[in-house]
Amino acid sequence: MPTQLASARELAPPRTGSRRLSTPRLYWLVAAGLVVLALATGVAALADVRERSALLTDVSEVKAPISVDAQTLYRSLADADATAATAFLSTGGESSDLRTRYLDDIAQASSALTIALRDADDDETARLRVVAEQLPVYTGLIETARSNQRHGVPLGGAYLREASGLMQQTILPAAAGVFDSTHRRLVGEQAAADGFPWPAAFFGVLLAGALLAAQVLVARRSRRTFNLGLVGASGIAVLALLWSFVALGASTGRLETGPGSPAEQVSVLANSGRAALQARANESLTLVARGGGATFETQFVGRMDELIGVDGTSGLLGKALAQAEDDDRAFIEQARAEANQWRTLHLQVRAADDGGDWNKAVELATASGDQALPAVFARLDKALTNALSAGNQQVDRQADGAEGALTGLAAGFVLLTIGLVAAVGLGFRPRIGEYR
Amino acid sequence: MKKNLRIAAVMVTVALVAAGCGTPDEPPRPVSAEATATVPRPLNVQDPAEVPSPSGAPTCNPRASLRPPASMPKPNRMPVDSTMAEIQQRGRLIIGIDQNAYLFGFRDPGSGELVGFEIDFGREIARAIFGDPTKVEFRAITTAERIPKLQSEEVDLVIRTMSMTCERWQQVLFSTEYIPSRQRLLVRKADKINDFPDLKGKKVCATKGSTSIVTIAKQPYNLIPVSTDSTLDCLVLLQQGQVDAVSTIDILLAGLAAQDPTTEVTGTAVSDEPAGIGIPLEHRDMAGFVNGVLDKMRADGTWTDIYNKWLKERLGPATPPVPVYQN
Repeated sequence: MPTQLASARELAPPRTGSRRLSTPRLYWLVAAGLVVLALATGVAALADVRERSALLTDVSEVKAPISVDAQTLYRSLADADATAATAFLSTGGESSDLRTRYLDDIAQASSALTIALRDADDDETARLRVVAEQLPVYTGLIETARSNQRHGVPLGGAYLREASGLMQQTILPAAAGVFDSTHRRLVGEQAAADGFPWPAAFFGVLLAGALLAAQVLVARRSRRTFNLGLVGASGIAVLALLWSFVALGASTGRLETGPGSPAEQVSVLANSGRAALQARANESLTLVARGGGATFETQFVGRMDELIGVDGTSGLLGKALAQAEDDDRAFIEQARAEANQWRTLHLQVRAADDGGDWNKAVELATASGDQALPAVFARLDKALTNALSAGNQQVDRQADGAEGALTGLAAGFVLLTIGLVAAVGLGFRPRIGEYR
Repeated sequence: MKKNLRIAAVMVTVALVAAGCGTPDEPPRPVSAEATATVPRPLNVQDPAEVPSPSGAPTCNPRASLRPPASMPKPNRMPVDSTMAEIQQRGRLIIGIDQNAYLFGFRDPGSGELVGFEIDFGREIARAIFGDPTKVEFRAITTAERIPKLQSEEVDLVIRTMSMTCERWQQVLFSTEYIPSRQRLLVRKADKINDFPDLKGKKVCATKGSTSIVTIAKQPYNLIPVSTDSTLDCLVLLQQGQVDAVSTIDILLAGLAAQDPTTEVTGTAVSDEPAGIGIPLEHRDMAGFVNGVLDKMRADGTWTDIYNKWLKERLGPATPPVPVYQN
């Protein structure tokens, strides 16, 4: 026992009342209470950080890739349909480029499908099954259409229209549903990783209050203003609080989920890509239908309005542009310009076809050259793909950043909790020792 | 005291370890699922089809058309103020046709050119007006669009296997008959269906807005009419096994059978449907002129040449139908 404590013992008021708790017993209870609270706070905080990290890992390693995978599925299906219809227009045999592109799309879609099935929930599985069941039927119809076309009979066009109907009315809506659902799960998990740590905060506040009360109590009983152990414990608590505050603040600050967030942007851009591809498929089908294509033209107009609005500046791309960050604006602006150019060229195609010059219409729709319709569409598609992959990277970076901010926090909590418990022990040990 | 600290340390460790651990719940693996195929359908199929109610049209001789003028004008010399003069002024004849009817009007996928029996008729009429068979603009229209396009005068003529009926005579004019046709059946050879009675309670396909749907519904064998946008879609349905027969005029059925050697045209003729060239109701001069062109084609062998080129192989030899006039 340090000698200077002797005077404290002399100064201590005599404890005689049998109904009052003796000081050492009281100190024991307070110390034990503080240790339990400190442990509870540590456990709650640690659990919170662990859960956050787990969610963030899941976002960046599972949910975000699933969402990208669903995008791939969706896109390659829409692209396959647009490509098959366009390939049908070329007279004198189908171009091998388009054939390869179609086959690549189907291969990509099938592969994305198997991956998507791995992590799908029940609803998604049901939708993916629709895709899995109908995709072979679709490709079968396309091949029937191709072989009839090769024999020079118009029946091929009828099979192509049927195939496209199956794609646009059954397969694509199912794939779109999967994309929406994986996207919702991604955003939901981001929001969960972004929540306020209620249990840890509750115990933290309780612990802070208890530490303060204990110091007041010890100061009164021992007639010392400060107890080094308790001051140390409070210091550690404040440190833990500050660290949590900074780390969690940094982590959650990097995860945005609302309107204008990268996740939302990805959704808008993926839908833009789908709308553009569907418009392209319908444009080709109008010509393939040879006079019976009024419904396809209506569809084209609808998809274009969805993409850039009636005025050419609103629609999905207008929305994407409004919430885009400066770095990403260029792609979206280019996409919008190309989409407007496409609409102008499409009107020329329609004018030729409606005027009875089907050959000229097809020539316009399939011409090669930088300013021709296929090139304009290819640039639009490329710009949208670039914008989308930039968006996906941003979602990834966010999750990584948020996870990085939490690095060390778990180990820190363990050390700080041990330190806190030790400080409480060290603070009370001499006080209790005085009464031996 | 030391012991207490040790206990506390153990507690800290245990609690922290407990907080950190925990195994995620593995979802149960789905068992292998049963699945049944759903056969796709062409767009806009009506099954069963809506059957247009027969209107109370006056009885008439649907074959009877307007007499040609006593002397036909020379090409590029169309009578002043006539419909033909307007067309000559415009520089091209506008004809509504089918681009999907094999042998009648279709795109040769190799060349992209429109070819067929009816296309050649259109070119002959252009030759009579301009002396040039290429001065013609073909517009692809659907079966259901034939009468509306004539009424709005968006096209000068419709040559699209259009059956002449008394009801339609109320809305448009027809030329004299340019090819006879009767409604029959197209079936899969393997099904051993020979005639309408074999189809009792089964599905039979025809296009929306055609007279064929009405005729199918009128048969006394409980046939279920199914309608599509184009005759080709009926062949798709037949190939996919969703209908048991296609029933429309035999000349169109021959075009379908030519695209699928496992099908055949069969059955008794259940209707007599002369095909005429559709002309807007107001253009009586045009009707006379077209009939003059058809008369010339019958007389000078052009009709037979075109028939032999496209249809003889499928339908056998034929002679041009004899024109019938109203007065």
